[in-house]
Amino acid sequence: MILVSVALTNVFGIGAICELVFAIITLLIGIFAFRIYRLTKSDNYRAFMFSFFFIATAYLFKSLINFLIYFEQAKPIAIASKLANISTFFAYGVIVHIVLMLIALLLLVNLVMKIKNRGVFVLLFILTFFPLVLTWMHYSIFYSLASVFLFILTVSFFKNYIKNKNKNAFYVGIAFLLIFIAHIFYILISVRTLFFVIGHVFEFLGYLVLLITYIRVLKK
Amino acid sequence: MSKKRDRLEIIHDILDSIRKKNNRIKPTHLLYKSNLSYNMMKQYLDELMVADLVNDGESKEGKYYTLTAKGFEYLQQYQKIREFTESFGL
Repeated sequence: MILVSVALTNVFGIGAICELVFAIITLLIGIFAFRIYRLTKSDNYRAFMFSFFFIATAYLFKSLINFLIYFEQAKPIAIASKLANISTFFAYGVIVHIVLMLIALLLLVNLVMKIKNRGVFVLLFILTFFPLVLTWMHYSIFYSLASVFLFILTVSFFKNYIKNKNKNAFYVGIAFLLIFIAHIFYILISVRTLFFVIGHVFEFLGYLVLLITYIRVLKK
Repeated sequence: MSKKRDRLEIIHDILDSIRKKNNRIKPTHLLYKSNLSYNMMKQYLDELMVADLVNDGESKEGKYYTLTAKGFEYLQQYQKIREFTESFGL
């Protein structure tokens, strides 16, 4: 029992660090998109910038929650009332993370699929959030929805690579493929906790490839 | 056959044409250098002025266009913008 508790505490600690790294990487990309938007005033960059800022904020929230749980659980005697407060905070934090992440992914899908009709976007928005309101299995539904969006994004980024034959476009495709695989593992968290760790490894690799791509772009 | 220029490339060509003319170019020169129709050039110039990349002015010789500081920055950052755009298919 103690071993499981220590392992879970470590999982929250690793998760918090990973999510902080993801937040920094996506924030850097968002800032770069903002700089281009400032110069071009293009709607595409505005949508791209917002989606990456949303992803960064979503990860910051998740990181904060995980850090809080990690530090509270790491204490020798965890006060029950304090833990109850944390679980409430955790619940709200998770909702904020889910909402921001899904909006970000929806914006990205909207962008890569070149959906110009606002009605279609609103419909997708409703269809995305409707199942979340109806169910208590927020995490499973969220990761399933995110996986669908990430799959669409991955296919689209690889199509872009085939069209442009640009090495960085290939890396972007690989990055999103890794993040997509990570989310498949996250769907299965309830089956085995180990999938949480495997998912984080894939997600970490995905964002690392995204960071490498960002650095390669800056070197141009 | 040469490849059709995209939006980013056309903007770059317009700004570069202005820069190469010592940052002061007449509309007729720009029309010739940018290789666009009059209507297209006007549309692009209107967009570039809204984005504060280009300014227009009047002198005794007639209308002219100049680059703003942001216009120069765009030219400096062009390769990075191009690479970023192609990487994400924007």
